[in-house]
Amino acid sequence: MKHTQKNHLSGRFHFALVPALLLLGALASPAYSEDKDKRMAEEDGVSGTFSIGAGGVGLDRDSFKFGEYSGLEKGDGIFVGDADIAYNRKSYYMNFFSTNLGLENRSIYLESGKRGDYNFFAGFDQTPHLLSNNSQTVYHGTGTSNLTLPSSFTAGGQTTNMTILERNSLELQTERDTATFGFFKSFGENDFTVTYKREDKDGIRPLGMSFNQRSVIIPETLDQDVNELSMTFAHNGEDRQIKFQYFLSLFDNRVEALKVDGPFTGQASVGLISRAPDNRYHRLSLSGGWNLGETTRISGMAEYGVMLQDDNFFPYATIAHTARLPRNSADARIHTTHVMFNVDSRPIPELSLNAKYKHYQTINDIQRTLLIPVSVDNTLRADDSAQAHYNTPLAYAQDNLQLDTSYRVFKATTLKLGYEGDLWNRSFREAETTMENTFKAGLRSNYFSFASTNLKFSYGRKIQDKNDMAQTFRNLHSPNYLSANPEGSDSNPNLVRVDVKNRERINVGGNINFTPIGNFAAGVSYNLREDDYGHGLGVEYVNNQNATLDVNYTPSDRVSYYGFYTYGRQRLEQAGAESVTDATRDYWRDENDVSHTFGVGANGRLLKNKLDLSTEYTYTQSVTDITFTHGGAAVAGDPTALPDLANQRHRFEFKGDYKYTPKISVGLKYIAEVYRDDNFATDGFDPASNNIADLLLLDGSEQDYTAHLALVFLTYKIGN
Amino acid sequence: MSPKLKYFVSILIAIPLLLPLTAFAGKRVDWSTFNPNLKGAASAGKSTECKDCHDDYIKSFEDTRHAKTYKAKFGREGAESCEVCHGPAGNHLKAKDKEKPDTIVSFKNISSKQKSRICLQCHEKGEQMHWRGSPHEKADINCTNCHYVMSRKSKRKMFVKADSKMVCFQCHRDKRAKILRTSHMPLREGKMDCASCHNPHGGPGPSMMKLATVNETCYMCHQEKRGPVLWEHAPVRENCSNCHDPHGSNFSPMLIRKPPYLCQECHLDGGHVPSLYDGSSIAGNDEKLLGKACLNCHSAIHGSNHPSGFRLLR
Repeated sequence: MKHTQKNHLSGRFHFALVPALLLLGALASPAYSEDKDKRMAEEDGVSGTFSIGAGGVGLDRDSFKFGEYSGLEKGDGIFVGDADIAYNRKSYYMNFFSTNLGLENRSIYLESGKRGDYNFFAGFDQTPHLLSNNSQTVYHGTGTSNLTLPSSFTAGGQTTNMTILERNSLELQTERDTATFGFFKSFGENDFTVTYKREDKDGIRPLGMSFNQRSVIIPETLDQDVNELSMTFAHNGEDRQIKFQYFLSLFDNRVEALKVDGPFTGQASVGLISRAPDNRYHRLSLSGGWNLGETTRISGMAEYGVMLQDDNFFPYATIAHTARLPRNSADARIHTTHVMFNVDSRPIPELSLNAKYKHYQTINDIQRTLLIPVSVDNTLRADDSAQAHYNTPLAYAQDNLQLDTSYRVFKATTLKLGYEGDLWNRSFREAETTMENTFKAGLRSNYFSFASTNLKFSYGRKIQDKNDMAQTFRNLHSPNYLSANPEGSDSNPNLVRVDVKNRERINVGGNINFTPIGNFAAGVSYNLREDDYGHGLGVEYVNNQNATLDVNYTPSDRVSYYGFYTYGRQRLEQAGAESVTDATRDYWRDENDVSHTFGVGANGRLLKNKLDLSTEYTYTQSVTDITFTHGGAAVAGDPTALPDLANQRHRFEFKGDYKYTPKISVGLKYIAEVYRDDNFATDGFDPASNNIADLLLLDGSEQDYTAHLALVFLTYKIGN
Repeated sequence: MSPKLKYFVSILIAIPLLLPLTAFAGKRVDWSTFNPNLKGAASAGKSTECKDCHDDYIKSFEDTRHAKTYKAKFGREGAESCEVCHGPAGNHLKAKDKEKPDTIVSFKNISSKQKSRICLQCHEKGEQMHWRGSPHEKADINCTNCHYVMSRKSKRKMFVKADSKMVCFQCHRDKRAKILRTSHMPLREGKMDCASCHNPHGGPGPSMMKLATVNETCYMCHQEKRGPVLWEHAPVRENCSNCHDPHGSNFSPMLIRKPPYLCQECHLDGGHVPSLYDGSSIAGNDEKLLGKACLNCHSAIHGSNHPSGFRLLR
């Protein structure tokens, strides 16, 4: 088993990357002294802007949520370092961009070469993801693949019976560091591009680890890297274009499994959980297009890909049993083929016709074998037990046909009609085939100069060929087991999984943009998607809708105001397990999810264009209400509603930029945010505590914050 | 590899080796279909007269990297540079002031498809290869709805707004609201943009995804989910958006509904799976509702390669 502490390769990577980027630029851009091209001479030199400055963050409590993707935490100082610089010399150039150099989510990009001929490019991008900064674990060994309990810890049948004398604080955070290098070369109408990408992902994140009806959330060590290579050759004729691409992706996981001491008595003393195995992916892609005169174009694409994975199997459990493994690895291989063909034609200016066909297929070559497991690391199962399963090499094929036509019925008004057929064939699923037919209609009009309208409607019906839950059950179990147990768990014939369920879908949408006077604009848009699955076990009805109002007012070319409001709602109705002869499971669930998003802002250019000001306030609120009612057979006591899941965020932002001289400007940015979150699943439960009898939590529930961020920076303009 | 697949791959490799040998004939825009007054109009050549009236426009255009690349690649100067997008200017230069607007192609009075056609003279290739017939093209969107070439308004790609997301939100207003939800990808922090997943010029996937399927697009960043593995979870293998809403959600990590209710949309039979998890489950500190709910135990929800991983526990 490979493992490391939190990977510091990325740190070394940063140090090496900056000089590498500069060297690359230096190599690519000089050597033009022989070039006598004078066309570009007047634009030679360095131009652009760079900004430097400082600031800080104030948070009222130790919440990770404000800096979720910026890495900013309570009391952090910030160095501002942004640049947008170009260097030109005749046809040669170098462009350099950098963003957030002083933050953990920095990025830099450099491109250099000869315009229209060749270029080198390189970039580096860092993305943190804070997950929690008030977590605690009972384990030792965070950052490794072996989590052990301290000697002071006493296991118990439930958390209430445990003695926890030691709790270790930790921050849950992951980070991606991505470096990209590439080269582009043009040969007249042909060009060639090669790109290499290297990505490191590391950190600690929470992971559920089961110990047979008990669970502990453990700090998972993340240490992965990805190497990808893409090579593209393209021919770009004016009438015919073709592109050929090879793509290779290699994924390497240095933490292939985690070994974890069991904190519960009566369960396995040590557990082993596997993580994503190393994998490889190759894809060949060919795409092209051909204009048949001005009115018709045909285009298409053909692709073949293969995903490969042959990591050695782990033993069934931390205790031996390797001899019972049917083979050493999954030797898994999924082939993908994709063919797309598109014809677009305008036989007369008023009429557009389009036909598109797509075929996508996965072929799963993995060998089907009966595997006799050791359940949750401590219970050896027999060949004919319910727990012995055949793996099922899932595969599917999709055939999709779209036919669309539009006709300009009168001035600036177009009527649209369309059809889409979507056929799926699946293996090892309860429904082998689903077919969805959708009919579409739309109207777009700019008839009035002060208003534009777009309306659309579609109706679709998806039908499955069968719903053979018993077949999926038979696919999984050994003949010996099936002879004694012809039916079992997950074989209820009334159960239809939502992704293959018969469905009627209605989409209605539209927007009206209105400009009654030259400096005022308003827009209204509305979208509704209604899915009706009919009566039966599981989801019966889903309704998604949103409506938005936008207004813009520009009283002068120096001042503008805007505002928007979006109402979003999702409603779902689901029948519980009503057909099971257990009254306590006969219920209905209704879910109502309502979101409000509101924003206003203003931009101004004042003091003879010396002062730029912008300000914005946004408010987001989401509330999810889940209620239950009993079904035909009364439950043992009426179900009780859940507390609302709710969150809201206020954000105010102000930015000012004053041009002190034509070359130098002084900037100020201020952000205030207030965030509140209510989540019954985590609120009030402490990490590494006995709050929940069968579950040891890891991350704390604290997300709420009130934050202030202020930055002051100088921007220097280079060149004219 | 099966013989059928070998055949398919061989064809894929062979075709591009043959095609570069083909010489393609050029075909430019017929400007008289854009403006009948341009029929027979002559080029103004390298004349600098355009600057007499449009100096500010031309100066800001020449400062763009687009203009510099164009100039370096094709070497056109003066009016012949303007003519690539506005048609031959011979008549325009000769016309009296009142007649001038009718003697050139202006983007203010041509159709949406004609605007795109002008750009496609050079850009019908690469990511724009499948523009014609794409959902945006069919919705009468054109290049100028998102891009502006006459001055630099964004750092890259010549967008009409500095922030590329705001370009998309001109129409996709519901997505502007969704990225503000609590569980979101780092779009509002500037680490991703809509084009990280979508090709607005006509990607091969659903909703103009960059790759053929939702999953192949997700695997661009989530390679660890690609597998394949011994124990697959069917809806995961078919479509990540069966469970996730990548534009933003109220349920971390961008789930369309909260577990265990999300899981119960498919799993309503056997053992503890179909149980009612209501308000009393909170009072009872039920681990199947609290914390990560089903994922407290079934954490290998995307598939497991462990030989004991059938239940996605290992």
